[in-house]
Amino acid sequence: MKWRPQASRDAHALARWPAFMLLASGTLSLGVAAAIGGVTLLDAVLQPPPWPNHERVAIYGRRTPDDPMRAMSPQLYDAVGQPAMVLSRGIARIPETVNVVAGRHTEILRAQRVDTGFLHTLGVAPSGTTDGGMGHGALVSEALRARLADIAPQVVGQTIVVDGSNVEIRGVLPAEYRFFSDVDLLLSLDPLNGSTALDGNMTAVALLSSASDIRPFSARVLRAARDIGPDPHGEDVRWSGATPIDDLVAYRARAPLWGFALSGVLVLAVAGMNVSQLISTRMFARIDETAVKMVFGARWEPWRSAGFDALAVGVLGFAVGLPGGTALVRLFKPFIPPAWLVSAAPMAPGWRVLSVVAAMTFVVLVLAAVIGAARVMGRLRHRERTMMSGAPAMRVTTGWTASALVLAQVALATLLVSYGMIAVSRAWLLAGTSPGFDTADGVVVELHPPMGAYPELSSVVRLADAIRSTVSALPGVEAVGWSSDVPTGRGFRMPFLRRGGGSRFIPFAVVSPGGIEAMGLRLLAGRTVVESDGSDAHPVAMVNEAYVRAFGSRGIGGFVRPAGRGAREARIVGIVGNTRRDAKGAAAPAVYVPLAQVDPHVFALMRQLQPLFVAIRGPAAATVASDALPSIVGEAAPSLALSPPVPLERIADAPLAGAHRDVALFATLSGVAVSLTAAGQYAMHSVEVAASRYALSLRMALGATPGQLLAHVVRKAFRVALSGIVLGLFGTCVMQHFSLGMVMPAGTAIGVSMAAALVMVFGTLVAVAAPASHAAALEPWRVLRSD
Amino acid sequence: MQCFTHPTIIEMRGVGKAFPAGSADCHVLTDIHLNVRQGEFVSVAGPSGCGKTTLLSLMGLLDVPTKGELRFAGQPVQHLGRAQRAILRNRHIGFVFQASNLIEDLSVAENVALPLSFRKGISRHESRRRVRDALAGVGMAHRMRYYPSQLSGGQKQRVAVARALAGNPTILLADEPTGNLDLRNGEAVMSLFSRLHAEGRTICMVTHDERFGAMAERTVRLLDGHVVDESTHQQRLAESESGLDQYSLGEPVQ
Repeated sequence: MKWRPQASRDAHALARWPAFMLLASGTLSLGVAAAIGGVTLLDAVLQPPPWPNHERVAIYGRRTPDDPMRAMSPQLYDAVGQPAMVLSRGIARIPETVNVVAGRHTEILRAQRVDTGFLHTLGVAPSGTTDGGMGHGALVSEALRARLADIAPQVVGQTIVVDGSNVEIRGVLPAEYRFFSDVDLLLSLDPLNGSTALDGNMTAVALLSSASDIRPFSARVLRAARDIGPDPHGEDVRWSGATPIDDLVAYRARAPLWGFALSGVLVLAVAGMNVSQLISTRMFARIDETAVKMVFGARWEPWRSAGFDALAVGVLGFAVGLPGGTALVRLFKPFIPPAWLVSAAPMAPGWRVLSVVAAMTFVVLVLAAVIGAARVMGRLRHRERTMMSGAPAMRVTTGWTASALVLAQVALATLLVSYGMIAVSRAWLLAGTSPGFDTADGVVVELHPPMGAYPELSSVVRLADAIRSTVSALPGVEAVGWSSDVPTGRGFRMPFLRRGGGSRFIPFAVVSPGGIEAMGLRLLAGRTVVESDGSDAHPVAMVNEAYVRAFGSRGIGGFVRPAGRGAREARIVGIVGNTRRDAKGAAAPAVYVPLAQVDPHVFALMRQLQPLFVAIRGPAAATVASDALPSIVGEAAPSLALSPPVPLERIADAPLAGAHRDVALFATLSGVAVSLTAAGQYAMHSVEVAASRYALSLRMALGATPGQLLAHVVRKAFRVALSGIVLGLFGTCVMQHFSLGMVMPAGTAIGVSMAAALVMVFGTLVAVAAPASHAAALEPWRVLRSD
Repeated sequence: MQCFTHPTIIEMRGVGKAFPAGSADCHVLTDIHLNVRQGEFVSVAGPSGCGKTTLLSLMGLLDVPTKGELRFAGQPVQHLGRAQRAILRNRHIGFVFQASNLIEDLSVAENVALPLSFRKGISRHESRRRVRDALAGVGMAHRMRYYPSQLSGGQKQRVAVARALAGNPTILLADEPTGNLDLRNGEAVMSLFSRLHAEGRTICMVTHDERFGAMAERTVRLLDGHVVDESTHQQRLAESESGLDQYSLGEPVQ
């Protein structure tokens, strides 16, 4: 066992180089973390969907040319029927908001109504059911089961109240269950009768007897759609058909997630190159010792030494990189759009991801060790040759590959830092702009009047009036009103006709009297919605400034014209200020219609897709919303759940979330890039100083001061770095020119470029400080003698 | 002939040099008293490990003594910092090493201009003129654009001498300048040194080759870090004739 004492000696030798171990394993851990992060995100998409039958399940119905997701109507569902090639089929409505009362606990949740064949078709088996189905009960998600278990340990068999109706919990969905969006419970879908506005927008699934049946089945769907005739929503029936469900799962996520994974692997590759440079640095510093060992017969010394270094760095780097990668996944998870997720199971690096990253790390380290050892062998051979001719090796130039690599790293880091600066400047500018409404002393509370208890618009209006009149009478309340959206919301969009022709989808909200005032919207002209704007009064509307500009409206006295057959136009009676709705900061046109005057069909659709809000303004708004409002609502509508009150300040900050996400994302990415680049620069210049210490010593012997040697190394470093910075800034300009990525706010180009360049210059200075100091500290006589 | 009337360039008074070696110090030079005057050609001789090169490193201000007093052109230098010593070295000392130590990536002219590039106040034109003159002085002006790899060993050493002379130093220090050369090239380099001395240059050369050491007008012999003998050219001639040169082979004759 000769390797044991040798390994022990190597370990002791390595322990004398703590900075090398720290830097090399730190660099590698960044690469491992990035690779784990990227590959985990990709794996989340590539993993099989949480439906056992997914390979033979198709989604069928109509679709639009630009969206592969299909929608189903009850008529088409009936027309297609269940042909012989379909073993089973099922249909589901799009998820809706419901009030759930469990014991004393009341909550607003997301639910989806599915028919009895739906889960069977997907192959999903809920736990706890006796017959494998839900009957007229409900199935709860694993997350909701955990919450309800706090109230009653045995969840299955409990009765909860959903929108005023008693529903028995019949089972629990698998933890990973997710059908394109997260829901808290599945409810049974009554026999289709086309009674709700959502029924034209359902999802139908079919289990085919074999995957090859997709074509004939798709043709059958198309024939059925043609037989029914033109689509009521104006969609082209030619796009009707069937699509394998696997093709629809996270299809939007695939390109960006492959991009993430590729970036992660690239970071690992760059980290590997840095490790190779660092191994070379250490080996160059011990080159005399290596040469002596080789003279005494240790032929493989450089390879063995490089291999041991790579092994030690790999073990430590992977051990640190693993939690780093998990943290990275946790950091980015909130920024992943829900539509990208396949499974509800928590996203974490599994054995598959770890195996792939471990294999890639192994390859990278082997290459790093081989390159490091080969460089030192080359150097030794060169020295041997020059020794024969009596002159020590005096070559001082850096390999062009190392320079090119560092240049590319600097350019990439500059690009990312530039985008980080763009994100910071956008967030800064956005934070400095007014939200467009008065956020002080205002709160909103979310509620959802269920369709069963409040089937008519008039019943919702009566409920709103009753709650509003009671709350407004409370001391410390200046205004109270209802709205279907908050001032910064982008929830519901409706098409409105432009003056010059054509239509445009814009935010649309219904408001009760007092709603505009309670939400703090600034009235610029005209009036707000008042009590007299009832269902039998002349239709009126309020718009914002952006609407007047974008739609060429003449403002007060003009009309808003909803698109669609039979839609009623409404006269504009008031104009409010624009509100900050998104991270771009650009004002979006918006229309507000009195609650009593909204088209009942539109309102039915709205209330199933999203909740309503009660806005309260005044010094006592927060207290009233948390203390008085629940009892007032409880008296008026016992089954109605209320969300916790949210201050308008937080509502105003919601559009900044995107800007904050961009700052976090680019700060992390550019931080990693700058760190790796700095490590790369440090490694390259350390190798250069180690390899050319004789030439540097000679310079000093000939009269160069330590300061001049320091400047010599720094100058060489900046020659490469400045080229990279210029290249990176040029890349940013090109990407901005073609509007790729975030757009730079106007007038910030010079500031952003200067800031990015300064960050990179500072990073370069930090990276080159140690090698330059080593060069300046060389003792010329000792070096000249030893070589 | 010793130039007692000429100013002293290097003055060593009781100089010692020790290097840390474990818990104890290793004394390489002990109680060295030595003067090098302007216009002298001094050789330092002695067996391997006697401290010749260390002595030259102290003379060249590459290192400082751990004991005694070292003066350069009358100025005490042992307390000077590395930067100040480097400036003095650049202005007053020219080095020639055993290996030519030319930088392979620089041309002959660039190698010769190297010490001038560290000196402030020298224009590019002046630098070019000095390089040309220095190379012409060693017969290498026609190889200005060549690279070291294109030169022979003797040519490289001549370029190294030109590099040492380009800054017009007060003293030329040479560490075994013929050590890597064959006899013919060694003689050529030594005749170059003799010519430079004849032109008034001050030269201090470390060598263990008695033939070349004998070309100096004064020889200092070191043994185990001590100066054991100091003789002029005439004295050596007389000793040689009477057969009293005990140290000619570096070891005392038994």
